[in-house]
Order: sequence, then C-alpha cells, then structure tokens
Amino acid sequence: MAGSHGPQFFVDNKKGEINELKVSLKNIMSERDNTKRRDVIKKVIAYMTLGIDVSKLFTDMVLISHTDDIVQKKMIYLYLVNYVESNQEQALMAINTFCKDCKRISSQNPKIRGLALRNLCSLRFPGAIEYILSAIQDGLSDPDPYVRKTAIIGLIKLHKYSKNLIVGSSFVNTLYELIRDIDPNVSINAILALNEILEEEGGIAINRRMVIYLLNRINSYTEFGQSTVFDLVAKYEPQAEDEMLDILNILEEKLKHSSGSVVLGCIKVFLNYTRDNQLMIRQVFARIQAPLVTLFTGAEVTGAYEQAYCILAHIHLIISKGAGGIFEGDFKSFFCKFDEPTYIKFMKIDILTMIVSDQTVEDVINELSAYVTDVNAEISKKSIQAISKVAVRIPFACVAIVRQLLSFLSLNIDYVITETLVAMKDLVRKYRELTYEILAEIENSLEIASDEGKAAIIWMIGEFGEEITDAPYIIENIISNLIANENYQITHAVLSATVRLFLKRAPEMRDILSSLYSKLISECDNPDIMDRAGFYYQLLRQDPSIANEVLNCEKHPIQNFLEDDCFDLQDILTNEFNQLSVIYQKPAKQIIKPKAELTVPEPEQVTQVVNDLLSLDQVNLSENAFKIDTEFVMVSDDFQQMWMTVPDCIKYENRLSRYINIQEVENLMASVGINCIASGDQMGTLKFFFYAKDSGSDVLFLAEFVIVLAAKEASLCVKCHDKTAAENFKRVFLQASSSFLQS
Amino acid sequence: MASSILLLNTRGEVLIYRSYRDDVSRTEVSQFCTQVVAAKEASERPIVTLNGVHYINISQNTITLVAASASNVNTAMIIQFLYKLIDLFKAYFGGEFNEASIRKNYVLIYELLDEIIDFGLPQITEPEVLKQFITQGGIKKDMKDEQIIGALIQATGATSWRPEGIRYKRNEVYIDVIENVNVLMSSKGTVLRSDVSGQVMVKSQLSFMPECKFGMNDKLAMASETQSLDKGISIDDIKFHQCVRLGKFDKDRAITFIPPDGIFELMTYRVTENINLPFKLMPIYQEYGNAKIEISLKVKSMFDRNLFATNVVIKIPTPRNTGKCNIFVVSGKAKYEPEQSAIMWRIRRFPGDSEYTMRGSVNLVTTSSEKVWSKPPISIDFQVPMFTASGLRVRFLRVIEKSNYKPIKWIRYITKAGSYQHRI
Repeated sequence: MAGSHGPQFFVDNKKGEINELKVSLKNIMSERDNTKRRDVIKKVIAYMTLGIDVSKLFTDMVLISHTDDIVQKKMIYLYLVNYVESNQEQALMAINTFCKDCKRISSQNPKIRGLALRNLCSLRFPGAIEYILSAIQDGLSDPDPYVRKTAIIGLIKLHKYSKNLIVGSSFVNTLYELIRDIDPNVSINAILALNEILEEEGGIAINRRMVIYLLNRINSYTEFGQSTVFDLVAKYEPQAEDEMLDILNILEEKLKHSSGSVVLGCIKVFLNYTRDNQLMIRQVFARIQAPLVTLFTGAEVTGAYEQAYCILAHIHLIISKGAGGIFEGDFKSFFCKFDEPTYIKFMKIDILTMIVSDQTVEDVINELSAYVTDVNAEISKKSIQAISKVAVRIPFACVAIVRQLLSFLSLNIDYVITETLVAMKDLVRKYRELTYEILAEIENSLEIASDEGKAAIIWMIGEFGEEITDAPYIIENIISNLIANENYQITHAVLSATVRLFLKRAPEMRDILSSLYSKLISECDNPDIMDRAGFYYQLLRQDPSIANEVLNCEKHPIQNFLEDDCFDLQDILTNEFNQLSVIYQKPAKQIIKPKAELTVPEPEQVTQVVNDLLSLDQVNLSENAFKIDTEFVMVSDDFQQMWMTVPDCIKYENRLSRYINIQEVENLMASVGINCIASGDQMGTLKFFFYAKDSGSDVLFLAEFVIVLAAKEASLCVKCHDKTAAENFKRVFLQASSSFLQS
Repeated sequence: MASSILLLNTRGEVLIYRSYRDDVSRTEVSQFCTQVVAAKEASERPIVTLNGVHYINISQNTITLVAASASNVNTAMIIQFLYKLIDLFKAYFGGEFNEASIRKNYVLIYELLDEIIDFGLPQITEPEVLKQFITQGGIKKDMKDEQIIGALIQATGATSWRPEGIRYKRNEVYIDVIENVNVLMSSKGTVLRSDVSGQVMVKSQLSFMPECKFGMNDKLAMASETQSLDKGISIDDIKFHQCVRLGKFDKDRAITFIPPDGIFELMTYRVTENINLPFKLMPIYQEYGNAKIEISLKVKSMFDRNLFATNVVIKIPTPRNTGKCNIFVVSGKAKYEPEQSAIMWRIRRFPGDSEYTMRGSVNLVTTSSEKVWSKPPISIDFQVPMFTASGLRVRFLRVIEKSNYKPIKWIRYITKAGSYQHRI
C-alpha cells in the first residue's frame, strides 16, 4: 500500500474525482457534441446514485443546463431535484433553471417545457410557491397540449400542498374553460383537477351544456378519459325525459366497448338515470346483461381473473337490486371451472343461488353438488351453504335438495358433514315437514361431526324429540360422554335440548335431566352455562307449563332472506357504482378512512369552551363594551377621504401559518363584521382595505392589511381616533385571522 | 386515484416503487408486502384493505403489480390500467416480463412511470405513441426535436392510435380469426356449458390513412342482403377496438375503421348458439377398491375429414398415490407424469372424423393420508387450423385509400381449446 504513493494522495482520491468532474463539466460547457456531454453528466448521476455527495457540482450543473437535448435535461433535473432541499441558495438556483426552461423563449421544445414544469411543481417548500404559480399560469396558456396538461396536474399538486390557494382563485375558471380545450388529454385533466380541487363542494359543477359537449366528443377520449366522463355524466340530473333518453341513446353504443371500466361507467349512467322508473330499469337490466356476461367471460379466457372478479361483483350488486331474472338464462356461465381462483368461485356460487329459478333448480343443484367434493374445504362448505339457500328460495324443490344433502353425509369428510348438519338445521326451521326424513339419517353422523355439527344435531333432538323414539337414549349417551368444561358450545346445546325434551317426555327424561344437573354442578365453571342452568331450574320449579310455553313455543316460519330487505344500502351503492364500494358492498364512508386534517380543530373548540366557562364574566364585559356593527356600510369616497385624514394608530406584523387567498381573507373578516372595500393581488402580494364601526361608541376603524405570500409575512395598519378602541378592533381582527396567522 | 404503484416478486420484495401522492406511506405499503404477498395470499385476494389503504393487485409470471390508494377508486379502471402496464412493459422489453427483465430495465420503468401517470392520474398509455418519445432508457436512441413534436401531436391528437405518414412498399393485411372453445361436460357426457370466445387479430401494413370495411357472416348484418343463401351465425355480443366506428355499427352492423399500424385486436366476440364441438370425450373410470383404477378413454374428432388438429394434449388425471401405470394407445404417446398427477396423452396430428382410444390400468399405492381424491376433470388442449367452432367466416375486407393501392390480404382461422373439460 505504502509504495510510491503518499497516503494523503490516497485519501484525497474521492475529492480528486469530483474535482476532475468539475473540470470536465467546465470543459463541456462549450462542447457541441451531445454524446460527450451526456457521458459526463451520466458520470455525475452515477456518483449520485452510489451515494457519493456531488452537491459541490451544483453550480456547474446549473450552468450546463442550457441545452436542447432531452436526455441531458432529464438527468440534470434528476440531479437538481435531488439536491434542491439541502441548501436554500441552491434551491433558488434550481427554481430559476426550471422557471427559465418553462418559458417558451428559452426552450423551443414543448417536451422540455413540460418536463421542467412537472419537476418544478413537485418541489415542496414555501419559497417556491410564488414561482410555481406564475409558471403554471404560463403553462395553462401554452400553445402545446403537453405543457397544458402538465400545468393542470401541477395545480392539483399545489392544491394538495396548501388547501386554500386554488379554491376561489381565477384558476378555477381557467380550468372550466380548459374542459373545452381542443386536446382530449387536457380536457380530461381539467375535469380531474376540478373534481379534486372542488372536492369539498361535491366536485365539479355540471350543467346541460357541458354534458352535451363532452358526449359529443366522447370518442376522442382514451378509455380512462371516457370512464371519467361517464362518472361525471352520471352525476348530472336530466331535466326532462326526452333529454334523458337522448343521453342514453348516445351512450348505448359504449356498452360494446372492450374496456370494463368504460362499460361499467356507462351502466352507472343508465342505472342512475332510470333509478325511479320501474319500467325503464327493467329494460336497462335486459340491455346490460349481454355486455356484462361477455366482459367477465372474456376476462376469464385471457386469465385476467382480477377483472372478472370486479365485474362479477357488479353483476352480484345488480342482481341483488332485483335483476335476477335477466341472468337466469345465462346461469351456465356462472358454473365454476376447476382451475379458477377461489375468490371467483365464491362469487359465482353466490350469484348462482341468487339467480336460480324453478326451471333451473335441478341443474344448479347438480352443479353445486359437484363442488362439494372440491379439495378446497372452503369451496366445499360454501357450496353446501349455497344448496341450503337454494332450498329456502325454491320451496318446491326442497325435498329433492334435502335428499341430496343427506347423501353428503355418506362422504365421511368431517367438515362436509358438519356443514351439512348446520345447513339442515336451518332448513328444518323453515320446512318442518322435512323433519322426519332428516332425523332418520343424522344420528349416525354424530360421531364424525365436529362441534358445530354436533350442536346442530343436539338442537334438532331437542326441537323434534317427540318424533324420535330413542331421543332420550341418544341424549343420555351424549351426556355420559360430555366433559362440561371442555366444550361450551356443546354443553350449551345439550343443556337446552335436555330441558326441552324433559318438557315433552318427562317420564323418560327425569333421571337423565338430574344426571346432567349433577354433572354440571360438579364439573362446570362457566358462568353463562351455570346461569342458564339456574334459570331453567327456577322456571321448572315455578310451573312446568309456563316453562313449556317459554321453551317450546310456536316459532314463526321463515319467509325470506335478510339480504333481500337491505334495499337502502343498495341504493347508496348506485351512486358509487364502478368504485371500490361495490366490491365490498358497503358505502364509501365505511371503507374510506377519514382524512387526517379534519380531526385537528375539535380539541381547540373544547378548550375554548372551557375558557369561556372560567372567564365568563370577563368575556361578556368586553363584548358589551366593544361590538362591531355588522350592518354598517361605507362608500369608497368617504373611505378615501378618511384614509387621508385619520392618523395611523396601531401597526402590527406577523407571519403566515399557511397560504391563503383573497376570497378567504375577505370571508373570514366579513364573518365578524369587518368589511372589505378594496383588495388586489400584485405578483403574490395581497393587499386589502377594511373598515368597521363599533356599534356602541360609533367609532370608525380603517385598516390596511398586506400579505406577502412568498415571504409568508403579514402586516396590519389600523387608523382610528381612539387608541383603546383600536386595540379592541385589533383583537377582533386577529381572532378572525387566527386560522392563518401564527399565534 | 392510485397513490403509488409497486412491482413485487413472490417473496414480497419491492422491485419497483413509485409514489405519486403522500396519503399512502411506504411503511403502510410494506405491510401489504409482508402480510399479503409474502404470505402468498395475494393471488387469492385481488383487492385487499389494510388499515384503510386499499391494495389492488394483479399477478403475472411471478410478478405482482400493486396499486395502492386511500380513496373510493374506480376498481375496474385500475385493474385495467395495471394490465395495460404489463402490456407496455412487454412492448418495451421485447415481449418478456419477469423479474430479470424488470431488474435490467429499472431505469426505463421509472422513466415510463413518470410519463404514463402524473400525480396518480393516467396520462399517455398507448405503447406505440409512448415508444416514439421515450427512448430506450433515455440514452440508446438519438431523437430529433421535430420527431418528438410529431409524437406529441399524436400523443394528444384525435386519431391517437395512428401516426400520419406511414409508408410501405408492399401493402399487406393479415387477418387471424382465433377462437377459444370453452366446454364443460358432466361426467355423464351432457354438455353443461359451451361457448366460444373469439378474437379477430389484424396485422396491418398499410400506407397512409386507409379506410377499412370488414364483413363476416353475422346473421344480423346479412339479413339485409337477400341474395345470400347462407343464413349466417348469431353472435351474442361483440366488443371492438377503439378505432371502430361504433355509431355506424349500431346503424347497419357495418364494421368500418382506420386501422392502427401493426398488430392489434380488431374485435372480440362471444357465441353460445350452435357450436360445433371439435372433440368428444368418452371416459370410463372403473375403481377396484383402493388398489386399482381402470381407465378407458375414447376421443372422437367431430370436424371435417380434410382438416386435422395439431398438438393435441389430453390430461387424464389420476390420484396422487398412483404407483404403476400400464397404458396402451394406438396413436400418439401416453405416459404417466407424477408432477402433473396425470396421464398425459400427446397426439401431434389428429385427423378429422376419426376416433382414438386409450386404455390404462393404474395401480395405487396405499398411503396413510385419508384425503379424498378431488377428481379433477379431464382436460384437452388442441389447435384446429382453418376451423371455427362458431362457424364464423370473414366475407370481405375492403381497403379504401386515396392513393388507391391494392393491398394483399391473408386470412387464417384457428380454433383452440379454451377450457375444454370433461368431468369424471
């Protein structure tokens, strides 16, 4: 190592390389050959990605940024963005470079202008706002669509950075105008931007002219653009039926589009427009059936199961809204294939139970039975549940279905048996006439079934004990094998069933019941079960006939499924069709987490109330003494005259805690009775003139308020004859502006 | 919409991470990587919600593409967009899409992700258009400014799919009608479901701005032309490439369009009526206790004698504990493949209107596991050239261009097995 080189040379090696780069950067400044220039810049980027600090070259990189070569630009921008936040001075240099590149005079190539603008808009520090605003302003009116569309996205970025900068500014109007831009991408971006910026007002305001305009040029948009437009059109409410039909006629051809999101977007419009018209909604269902089936079968064939899943979820929703009938003929399309993912199979099995009819029930049951032997236990269970659902839905087939279910018991697979028993338990609640058929078969399954299945059998023995000759002996057997503390679910079921059976067949059950109680007392320590046992005991001691009324009462027959009654929820979903809500079958507010900033103001309010309580008298006193007259109006001539004569009374300076626009300041002040007579925006400097009058003493206040956005500075100058009253005015003013001034 | 886009491998390692909005943080995203992708659950759950963040993912070739979002997004659009990304990457990587090609091209991928999405909103996604102004990795190709401006006009212009000024020496157009037959037969041999999902692929090498009109034996379109004897077939549903004028199709079922340059999918369609099933399977499974199964399978080709099927592969599933198999076939080769748990019977060339039989006996090994054999269906894979299961025929393709050239047209038909299964 020592060799001929001195150690200090070795240590300086890295620095030496950077210096070398610095020299070569200087050399290529006048170089014409782009390949040579690129090579040098590439070396800088390579060092940067390796984690070596090359921030020293900042000045040189800025100097060589004057080029038309897009490859070099991309690399230089990457470098600038990387180092911009480390140093304030450098930041300004970078901003200058971007701003220059955004201008048409310095860069002819629109791609470079767009690129520079995009990079500029992604900078996140206070000093940059002013520059970004003016660059976006220029970008929005650029002759090239690429720059315009980038500028619009820049506006959204700014809006996210500072909430109130864009809302209420002239940019909103510009965006509305840009919807009519000749370029489709610009037009779509303008819609997207307005939707985000005006989110709190419910998104973009839509009218008839806009709808017609957008639909007329619908074919010029990409599929993503078309989906966006349809979302917008769905929000519009047509004035008359003719108008609605016109729109739907234009949209109908879009049902043939190959893109899932376009077709679903289109269906959303159809569903929203015909929501209240029962006759038309039938026609709509009939019309959308074929496109939906094609979409999901098409997605399956290409292996895009995720898309098929999404479309099946929408079909599921439409069916649960009452369109079951139209998919009835297509029921075979919902048969599962062997190699499909589980989530698709689940969805299809669900749909099959919803569209099954008297004609198709046989095929559907045969098909569902085939899934019971599926290797995947989840599918097997799901199909047994589905079969029992079908039995509830189609009463005339129930006998055949129960026989089918009973045949599963001989498969000797524990989860199949358990699930079948549970399903049959549910079925006998609706079809009591089937009891005999079922009871004859199930006893043998008692040993194989798992807890849930056992509990189902025990429940049935309790319920129909009078019809099973050896019911007491079965129960006796179960009790003798029972370990009370091991399984609460079964113990619970046994307890209920034994008591109920006792009420039906007292002579045989007496001893059995007492043996159960003695077992429970000696072994069981579960409070729930002990409570229940105590309750039964009391009930029986009181009067067995009352106990019989309570425990073996007439049960209401089951008419229909719970989900059929959830129409309210389904209506909410119409508004959120083609969105995540459909997948989860839940309205947006249940699945989207609320935005973080909304939760912040609440604690402040609480503390304010506390303050009020503590210092109630004081506040009231001062309010009595000083109250601004909200009715008072002043004309501008009077204002001007007074402004010249009245001396400055109070001067006050502070810094902004956030960015704000003219409209918001005026609104805040108007809410406390301070009126604005004139305001204006000069290159990021906001200037306001306010006036107000104290209703008690009739003292007039004039004020000048200046905000420098870039520096985040605010200054207030109050003119008034009365110094103490002016202090009061200042207090009200600062209270009103507390949301944007630093405390 | 999308707050970030990720590409992950099967172990849940992040290959590409591009964040567009800060409402979803990298820590949140990494939860998804470890809890879902690394746990191998991603392929079972296309849409997952963790702590209020929604992850929409698709998987292809061991790569999982994820879009994370915190809002009530348009799911179909995002899934479609992710598939579009795969297409785009394939277009750039020369058809390849796997972990190696992603690692090799990561600079290019980041450059692409910059261009096709801005702040989470999709921008330019047409590979043909993008290709013209993203140079491979940004350094391989030199591009003149005029070209870039030209590309930009197309990127944002009205006929987004076709640039101006294309010129070919030989004007040619190739039409491929590709049909996938999906059949599901019950164990008794009745057809449970059958449908054909077809696609018409066009490779156009045409100069300038040609106007094309495409005609097929669609029942509804031919109803207006009385001279025709052929009744035509009834098509359940058709979806077109965006270049087709849908308004014109609605009016008189005429398919007119200005084609994009190169290969594109003109239309996809679905037919469920009167399908000519190319093969009929007749299996018999005879079980002798737990030790032996005898299988006999008769396969009959139902298409014309002049035609033939190629690459016929029949997969005859056997239980997992299969030991020794004695298989006898007249033609093709059949052997037991343990990794498939099936007897694979391969026939290179299967003439029309003929019948082949396989006979086999399978000896089972006794095992301790009592798991029941799931009996997957027999499936068959094949290609039948110059045959359409739906009966669809191309009647004409007229190309009209100002310079009045006569293009050479080629038409091919092929029917493939989609999911062609026979339960046992």
